[in-house]
Amino acid sequence: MTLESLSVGRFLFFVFIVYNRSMIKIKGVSKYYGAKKALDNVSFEVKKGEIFAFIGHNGAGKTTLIKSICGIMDFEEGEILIDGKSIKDEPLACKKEMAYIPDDPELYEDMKAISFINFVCDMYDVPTEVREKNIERFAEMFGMEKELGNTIRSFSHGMKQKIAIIAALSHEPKVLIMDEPFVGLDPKAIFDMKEVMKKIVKDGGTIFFSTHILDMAEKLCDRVAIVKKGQIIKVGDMKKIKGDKSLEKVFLELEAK
Amino acid sequence: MSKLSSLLKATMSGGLRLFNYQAKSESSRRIMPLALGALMGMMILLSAGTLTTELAMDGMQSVILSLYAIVTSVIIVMEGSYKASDLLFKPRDNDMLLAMPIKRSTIVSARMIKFYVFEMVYCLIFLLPAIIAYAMNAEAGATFWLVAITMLVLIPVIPIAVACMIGLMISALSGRFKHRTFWQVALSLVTMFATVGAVLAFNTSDSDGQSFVAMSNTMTKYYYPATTFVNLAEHFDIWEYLIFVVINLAVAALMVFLISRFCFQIITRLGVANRLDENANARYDFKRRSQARAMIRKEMTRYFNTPVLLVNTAIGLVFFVIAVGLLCFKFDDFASSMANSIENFPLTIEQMRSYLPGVTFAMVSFASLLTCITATMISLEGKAFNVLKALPISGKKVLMTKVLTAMLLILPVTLLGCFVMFFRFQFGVLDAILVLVGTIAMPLVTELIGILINLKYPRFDADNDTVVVRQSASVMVATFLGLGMLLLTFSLTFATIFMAGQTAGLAMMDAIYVIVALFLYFVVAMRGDEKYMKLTA
Repeated sequence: MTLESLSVGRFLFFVFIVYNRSMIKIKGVSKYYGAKKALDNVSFEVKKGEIFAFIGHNGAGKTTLIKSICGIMDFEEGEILIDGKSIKDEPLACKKEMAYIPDDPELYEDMKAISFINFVCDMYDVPTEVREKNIERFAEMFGMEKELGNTIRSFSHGMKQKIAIIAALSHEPKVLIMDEPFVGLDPKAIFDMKEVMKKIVKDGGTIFFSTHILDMAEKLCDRVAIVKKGQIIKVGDMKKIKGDKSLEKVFLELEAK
Repeated sequence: MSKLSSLLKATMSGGLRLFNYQAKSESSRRIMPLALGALMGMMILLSAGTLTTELAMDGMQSVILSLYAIVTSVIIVMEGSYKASDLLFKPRDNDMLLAMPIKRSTIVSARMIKFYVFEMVYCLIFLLPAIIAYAMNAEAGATFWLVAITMLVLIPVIPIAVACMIGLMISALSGRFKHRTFWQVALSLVTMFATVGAVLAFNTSDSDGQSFVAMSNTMTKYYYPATTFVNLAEHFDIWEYLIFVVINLAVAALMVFLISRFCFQIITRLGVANRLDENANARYDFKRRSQARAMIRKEMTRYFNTPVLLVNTAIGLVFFVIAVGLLCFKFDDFASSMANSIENFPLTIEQMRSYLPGVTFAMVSFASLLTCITATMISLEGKAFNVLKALPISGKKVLMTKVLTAMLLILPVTLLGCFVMFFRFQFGVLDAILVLVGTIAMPLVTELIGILINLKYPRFDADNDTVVVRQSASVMVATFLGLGMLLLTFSLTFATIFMAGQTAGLAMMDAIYVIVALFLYFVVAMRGDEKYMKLTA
């Protein structure tokens, strides 16, 4: 089918499908820790080009779902699709599209920062010139360009978090999955991180992250899901969910129910 | 006191969970390590019992007590001296505990007690069977059991004190250098070999066939706990008993005082040694590598920055190098002294020389089967395992690169040793090839077994590397299996060489190892990925 053969209607429908396609599709996912149900029939979608916040109290199941999406943790029921591919059936193809930034940046402490970032790039088969450009750009952005030759063991929590972020961004992922990405970052790094997130979605990328900083989620995100005791209690457009109230107020009201 | 007990409860809860892994059927997983531990205890009891019966004929059954007390003490000093560095100076809870209103001596006491509990395992494995064997041969009364229980509890105290002092000195010295891992490993190895050398220096017998008894007797004269054990077992004296108890308690108190005094200075110095490198921002390397190469580089970095793993896995290889060196330079002396000292020795020096390929094979099996690096490699990922699992690399590739890394660490040493032996003693081509095949197949079997064991018994939440390398179920099972395979290999090698000749014997052993290696390779390749995917840190 050539572009010329498309009618205007078909063309618009094609554009709608491309831009409205789900990058992350979670269908009826349940996860058990022994007898405890950590995730209970969780279903929602994250579309291409959107920033999606995932919020909930401590122990609600945020990290469990993030680890399940990234293929770190197995789940008993349901399915997770990354750009149409199942994380269970095609884990490597799914992971190739994603980057994961953990909540606690426990990286390889004995490695130099540059070696760790290169290691991540090697796993994604990033060409030398691409990684050089990206590493230098993001290292400079996060003020880490002079620290890359040091071992990760010598870094503070925030510096480790920055290294995890640089490593994740250096292979230009289509989907960025982050668990509490702003914890430990200094104000400048938080600002830069937000700018990077906006740039990624502008370029067609997708961001899914968990956070406790609700006012930031409110300003930054297109859509939001609220989780409570492993169940999704609210999911949808940020504006629709919060209405005239603040996200914090909505969240606290839902939590109190 | 309540602070100490609370602290102990907190520190012990993590450190002593040998079977710490997520499993649906945890109890079934405990069976193998416990069964292997019990089997080893039974074997030591059997050997101690046989030895005691023989010694009892000469009225020397008490030698068994001193011998095993010395063996236990030497093992604790050797092993504890490099363990002390990690357990005392690198725990993760330092900052948290120092910020609390707890005396430093209380923190050190808790760590020392934890260390002591770990070392008690050696008392239970070596000393307890000896005590049982002695009691079965001698008329053991109530006082003997009082002495025996006291000794079981107190024998580790002085060796632990010595080990801590050595560990303290090693950490203090290595902390002064830039490449402190290298210095820590080098000093730990020197200490271990010096301990072995010191023990062997007591061998003053005239090769009368009971040299270990003579050695034990000589050492007993100088080693106070062993002397006291024998004295009290033979003739109980309440004053000697009480003095022994008081001395041990005083040593323990002195140790806590000294370590409280210096431990935190050393921790600070080690922290300073972690400082940022001002000149680190030179030109960075952005070279693209394959996944396998990148993984091997990562594994190598981890290995060479983990002193406790380096020391633990270098022992067999260092012994191998020493054995090759001694054979190359002193073979004629050994052979002639063996031929002269043993009456009616069936082999001439030339015949002994012709059996050197078999001896080399046995030496390689010792180095290879007791060096299981992969048994810790998954656990040592720690919490970073989640980062690795999120990367687009298959579990099979991760596991295989870990095995390959271990092979790359072992093979250069063993192959070089083999080639030195080939050229020094002019092995036949076929014998040389057979030895080489075994040199590659044996570590492959060990490392494939190691990775499978670590997949079954991972430990991602350890306080420090020592917990993974020395105190995890994975290492325990791998060590027992390695010892078992070594015994089996020695027996089978000598049996097949005796029955079918050297070349045929080596060929049979090679065939066994190659088949087992292929089988294990397919197990890892087919099942490894599935098991890997189920793990989460």
